[in-house]
Amino acid sequence: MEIILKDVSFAYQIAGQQLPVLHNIELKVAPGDLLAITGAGGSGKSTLGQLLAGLLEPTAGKVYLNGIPCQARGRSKGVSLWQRVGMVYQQPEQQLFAETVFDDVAFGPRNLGLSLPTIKDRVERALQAVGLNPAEIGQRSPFNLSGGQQRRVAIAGVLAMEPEVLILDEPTAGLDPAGRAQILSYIRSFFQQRDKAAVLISHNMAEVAGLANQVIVLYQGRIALKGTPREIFQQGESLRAYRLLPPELPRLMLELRRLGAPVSTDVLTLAEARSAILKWLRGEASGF
Amino acid sequence: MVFELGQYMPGNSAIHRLDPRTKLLSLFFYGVAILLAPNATAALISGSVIFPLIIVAGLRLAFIWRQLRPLLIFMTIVFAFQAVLTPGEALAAVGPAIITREGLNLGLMALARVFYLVLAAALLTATTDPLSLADGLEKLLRPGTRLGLPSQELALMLTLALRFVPTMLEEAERIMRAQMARGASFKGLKVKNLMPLIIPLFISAFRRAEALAEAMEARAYQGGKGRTRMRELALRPADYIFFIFTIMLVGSSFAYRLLVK
Ligand SMILES: Nc1ncnc2c1ncn2[C@@H]1O[C@H](COP(=O)(O)OP(=O)(O)OP(=O)(O)O)[C@@H](O)[C@H]1O
Ligand SMILES: [Mg+2]
Repeated sequence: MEIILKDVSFAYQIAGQQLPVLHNIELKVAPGDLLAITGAGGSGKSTLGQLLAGLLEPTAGKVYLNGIPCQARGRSKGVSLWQRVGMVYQQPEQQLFAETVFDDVAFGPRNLGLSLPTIKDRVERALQAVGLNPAEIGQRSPFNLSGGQQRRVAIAGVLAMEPEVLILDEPTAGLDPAGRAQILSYIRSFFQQRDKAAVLISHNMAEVAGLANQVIVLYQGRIALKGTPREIFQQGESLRAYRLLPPELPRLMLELRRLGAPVSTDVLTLAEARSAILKWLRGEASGF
Repeated sequence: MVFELGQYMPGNSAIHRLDPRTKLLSLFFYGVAILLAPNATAALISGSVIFPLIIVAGLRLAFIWRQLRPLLIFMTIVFAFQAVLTPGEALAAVGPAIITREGLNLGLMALARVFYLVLAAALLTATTDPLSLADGLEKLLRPGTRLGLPSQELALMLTLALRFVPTMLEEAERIMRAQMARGASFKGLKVKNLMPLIIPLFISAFRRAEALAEAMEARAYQGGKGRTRMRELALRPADYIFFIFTIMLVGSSFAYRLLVK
């Protein structure tokens, strides 16, 4: 599944007035992409996510699914291509409603009109994928779970739809470090399946750097930067112009450099930082 | 947004600047004036004073239309019932139903009343921010405090309700979209279909209420007596003039009724 936004703009309607939020967005998500959308609060990330998921209709421009121009969900009739796009909202635990965890996760597959055995199978696989034991938790009420568990149940609810493109809006916000790491690893394993794509909305630079293979930076509703994590984070301090804090490792390397240590600044992970610093300590100055 | 009844439209027109008490009382007396009108023509004419006010307040036609639209069906039904069910001189027949002259008059009158009351209420809420509206109401209810009316609490409840209605509506839209992402359909009004919307909405409302209560207690809110306020309401000459016009409207409506009878 390939999603293309062509010259898409969006404005919210408030009290009969237009509040423009996104301007002339060009974007493509294809299988094999793990696209990170980042930007300061209010830059329009969640809105862009909902446009990609067909949950909002652009005020201008067009959205193409596999090359076919598509209207947002609910407007087009019949089986819609949008079924193959899943979206996990910001704080998805707020959408839980069913009496049991099983029923909640089964809500999506039921809406797809699947048979009961298939539904059961999907629910179990989805719960396992997010690290929950279906036998143990399936019959409990979702409202008595911890926040992190609720979040995972909600994500399972979207996974059970078996989307080809998974869009996640700040899935790790408000979780403890272990919960964060867990969710990030599900995202990675989801996207490593064949023909899948994922979109991760996040303002955590370290998270983005470690996961994505493509990054866009939104600033005031426009795509300000676009590239691989490496290309984006090399910008260092100039990211501040977009109200983003450059990630810590490149900052550390830049600071070392400023203090006279000739280390490479092309560093995204802890391992890379380590080897760059060791290289310098052993006296092998890098080529910079 | 789907639902815009009673929305505040910030502005700085003469109507916006009136004291909320003036506007509340005038709404009341305007309603009385329309209800006093003995026939359709009188109702239509006496209510029409609202139009210049809407223009002065700078409200757009599209806005007014959105306020009236949800009531269109209701207004049609009211009109149809009056027109058909009132006995009198027959004017026309629609199938088995006979429209009478008296019915037409009554129907038109009912229509005018609903129409003008909605317009006036919309004008009040569109030009008065919720906080001052609650302040004004509290002041007006204050004499009732001696009789045990919890005017302060009522005003607070009104403020909170007005404050959180838009928030809840936004939340409802968000939840609807989130469930749509899971293939939910909100077409048809089956209760079962609405559960995925209603339950999360209620849970969040309760959570919000709890958080709000705690935040208010943390700031030592004790309600009731002896509270002072940041903005004191003060009547200005414009308020008196406006109010005098309102009284004149009611007076002439009343006089006309006596004359016609
Ligand atoms: N439902 C809505 N109705 C009206 N305006 C909205 C709505 N949702 C968002 N906005 C406005 O649109 C702008 C962009 O919001 P959006 O939620 O897309 O930003 P974001 O980048 O996701 O922010 P955050 O990092 O805080 O989640 C904001 O100015 C916001 O006030
Ligand atoms: Mg957001």
